[in-house]
Amino acid sequence: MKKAHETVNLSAWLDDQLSPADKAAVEQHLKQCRRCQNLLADLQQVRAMTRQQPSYAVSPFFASRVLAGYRSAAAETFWSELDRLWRPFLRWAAVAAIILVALLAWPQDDQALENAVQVTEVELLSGQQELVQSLGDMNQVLQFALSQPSSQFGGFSQ
Amino acid sequence: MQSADDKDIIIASQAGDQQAMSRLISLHASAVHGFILSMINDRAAVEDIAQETFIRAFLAIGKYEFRAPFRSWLFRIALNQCRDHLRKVKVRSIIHPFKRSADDTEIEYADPGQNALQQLIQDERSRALHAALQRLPESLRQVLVLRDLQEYSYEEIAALLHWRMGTVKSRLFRARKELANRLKPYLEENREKGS
Repeated sequence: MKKAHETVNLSAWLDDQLSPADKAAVEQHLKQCRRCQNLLADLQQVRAMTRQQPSYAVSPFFASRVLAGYRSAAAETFWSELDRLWRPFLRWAAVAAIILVALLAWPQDDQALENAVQVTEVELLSGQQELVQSLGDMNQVLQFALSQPSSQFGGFSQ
Repeated sequence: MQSADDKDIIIASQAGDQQAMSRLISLHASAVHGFILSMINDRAAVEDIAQETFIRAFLAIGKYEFRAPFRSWLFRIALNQCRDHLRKVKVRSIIHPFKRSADDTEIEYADPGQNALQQLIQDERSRALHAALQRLPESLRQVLVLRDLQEYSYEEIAALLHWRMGTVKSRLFRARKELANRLKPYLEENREKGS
């Protein structure tokens, strides 16, 4: 009885990729099967045609283009990686900056606060004294004016 | 597997040595271009995809651990780039259905030692082959390109594509058979010449 066609193994037989038993089975089958012989011839020709393809002509500038592209991509990757690493800390950095500014602006301790109050009190007191002084001066000027004859001040009288 | 020299070049590239990178490019550029052309058959896009493949490879070269051959690792990146490109082309072809086909593009090869007629025949056969390759399902195209154009072993293909050996064998058979059907006129022409 004629054995089933060994078609799937024909390609592997061409490449010598079969076990000795499979190889013998294919060769035995080929002796008696015209259809498989023709198929094998086609596969052989296709393989030869594909393998005859000449090598591809690469542009002489290809390497320099690749390296320029690589340098630019590497730099981009570096900055984007840095950005990616840094971004989660941005929010915390903002919060930390606000806290720092608040701490610097706030009086450091009670003594400093007391000093600030004292300075303010002294300033207020000296302002008050200056005001009293000014009022005294104004009073003297007024008294002097009233003691003078009325004609000297253009008819000024009480 | 790569030689000790290749290993040294890769280690130097991992340390950021751009001369070593340049050496890696000259060692693998032609194979990568050929692989990409076979996968996408779009001459205009081959160089861009190859360039992107190398740039991505160099950006990630620190992660390469010498478990697989360097070229396999590089081809895996190229394969992903080809897939991205084909996806974009598919979307573009839905938006612009009447745009020029990629099959019309010229194919340039490195062998100038042929006369004009031979060159013409070779170009015609290459174009037919690439067009036929392009019409194969992706999994069949991958295995055929890796085996017959890039001369990978079955084991290397299985490792690169995460397939079993049986799958490699059966898909390679289907790919060759399918390609033989599509290239029938060229095969018969060859047979006539041979007889």
